[in-house]
Amino acid sequence: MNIESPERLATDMVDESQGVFRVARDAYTDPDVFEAEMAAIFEGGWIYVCHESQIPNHGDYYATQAGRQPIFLIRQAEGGIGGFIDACSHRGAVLTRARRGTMKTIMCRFHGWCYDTKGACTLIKNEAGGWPGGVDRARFSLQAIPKVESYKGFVYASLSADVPSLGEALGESRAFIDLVADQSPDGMEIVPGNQSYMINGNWKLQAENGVDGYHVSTVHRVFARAVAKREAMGDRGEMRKTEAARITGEVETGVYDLGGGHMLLWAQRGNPEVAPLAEKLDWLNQTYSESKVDWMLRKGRNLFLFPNVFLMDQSSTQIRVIIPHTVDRTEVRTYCIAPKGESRKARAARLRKFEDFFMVTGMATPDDMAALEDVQRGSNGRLAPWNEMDRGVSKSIRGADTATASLGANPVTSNPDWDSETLFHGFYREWARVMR
Amino acid sequence: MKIKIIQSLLYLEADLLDRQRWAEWSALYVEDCVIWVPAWDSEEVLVEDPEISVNMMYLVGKPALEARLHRIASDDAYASLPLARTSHAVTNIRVVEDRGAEIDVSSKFTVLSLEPRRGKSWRGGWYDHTLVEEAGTLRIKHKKITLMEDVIDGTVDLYQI
Repeated sequence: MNIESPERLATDMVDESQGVFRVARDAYTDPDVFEAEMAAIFEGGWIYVCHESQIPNHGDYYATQAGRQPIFLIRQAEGGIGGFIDACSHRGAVLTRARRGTMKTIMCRFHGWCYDTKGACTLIKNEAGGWPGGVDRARFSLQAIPKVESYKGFVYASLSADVPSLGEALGESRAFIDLVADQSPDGMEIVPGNQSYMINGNWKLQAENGVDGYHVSTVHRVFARAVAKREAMGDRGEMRKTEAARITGEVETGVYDLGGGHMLLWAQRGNPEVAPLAEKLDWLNQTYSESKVDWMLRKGRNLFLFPNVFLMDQSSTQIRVIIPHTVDRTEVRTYCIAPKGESRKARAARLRKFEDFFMVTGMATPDDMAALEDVQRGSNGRLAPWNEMDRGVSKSIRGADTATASLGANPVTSNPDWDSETLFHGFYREWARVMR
Repeated sequence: MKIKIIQSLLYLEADLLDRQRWAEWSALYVEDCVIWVPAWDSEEVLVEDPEISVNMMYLVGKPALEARLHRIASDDAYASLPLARTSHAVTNIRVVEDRGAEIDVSSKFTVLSLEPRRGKSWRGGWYDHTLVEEAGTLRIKHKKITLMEDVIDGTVDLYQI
């Protein structure tokens, strides 16, 4: 490619100069842009790492990647969360033996060096043999991640210290995070069992896909039919009944650009009485405003938090984390997040719906992934360079609509049709801004 | 002698999947059947209670099977257009416990799967079948599929495990 710099290229890839919002397909295929994204976005700002309930006790850790850099978060003795580059200070071996585990003493399995959960080096094997005069072990502390913060149980890290507070960065998305985080008086927890999968596609395609409503009536038509057949054959009474009105297009929908690259997609639930949360209706009505209860219970929502995580609450509740590996290879980690104290019956219903829709071994997500991978392949056809993302522009309004105003949230734009692509404008504007 | 009948059933099940004879495959299962593919909770530990854990698949009752087969045969599921070609190998077939009315059988499987979009993949795991006799024929009541993969790379549908 003849370009001066990847940063300039990213800016050129989001084009509004022709009266139409367009994104260059090279954004999905150019490895130089990918490297720049890793540095600027995934290693240069806030990324979601894990839920607090995944690291509840002293020594509990969660390992992942921030861009290209391996990191882990670990619960400290007094309850704080430390974040470190996942590399022994000696010769760089990864310290975590699994994605999750417990280690009150962090011991490197290579030469036996030890650290505490604050990252201090507490033991060098045969220290005197290496340094007869002794050595200042403080030189060998683990490399701390400059920023680790949590919002309502969702733990974020930033490899750059030059970032606003997490609250500021989340901005208007917080009202929608609350709709998930506030579902139980006892807090939320991650259900045992998780799934990871690899996509032969760029991470931004997964970001788009999770808040793309326009594909639902095509790609998930077969899901609705398969589920209808199952129910016609006598399965899934009551709470286990699947809500599929959004797929057949029978309900109100909408999308929001929440600013900061965050996006929300919603659809009215056709039969909210079968939502697992419905068993808590009395408590919800006593605790929250009418508008908030309406949003929590009667609207299915997919919330995308820039750059790397979805909180989905529609057919079931999911945290979906995006971890880019290369320009066309992305890891996705999925977890079921659920209210603590939920009845066994509601929990089971929540999980069966999770398995139906969100698992890549289920009946919906693999179809999304196949479509996404086809876009990746098609985007290599550089003779056709642009995606126009202007569907629904005429329906877009600046600021809040009635539904978000009553929730106290102020999106950049609201659109009363989830087929609209106006929410992607916010994502790509933020993307171009960060890349500059 | 019984082991021969059991082996034949397991080989038949695998062959019907490979030959995409869905109705005949479904007929091997009793009405209140269960197919359980547990998810991994960590690198070494599977989930234990399928009711209240995330599972890769937990199909309870024949209607749940039929829903999956409807999707596979629909010619409308993006990930299954076209279908992968599969070849199942079922081995190490052993009777674990024969309770008369029910028999628990353990075996291993590997599946070669040729996905048009992704190419060749080789997956495998363990089968735990519980078989029952209905009207003189041995049929499948419960099948637990322990898939070795935890990071899924490509399509893993019911006919590919």
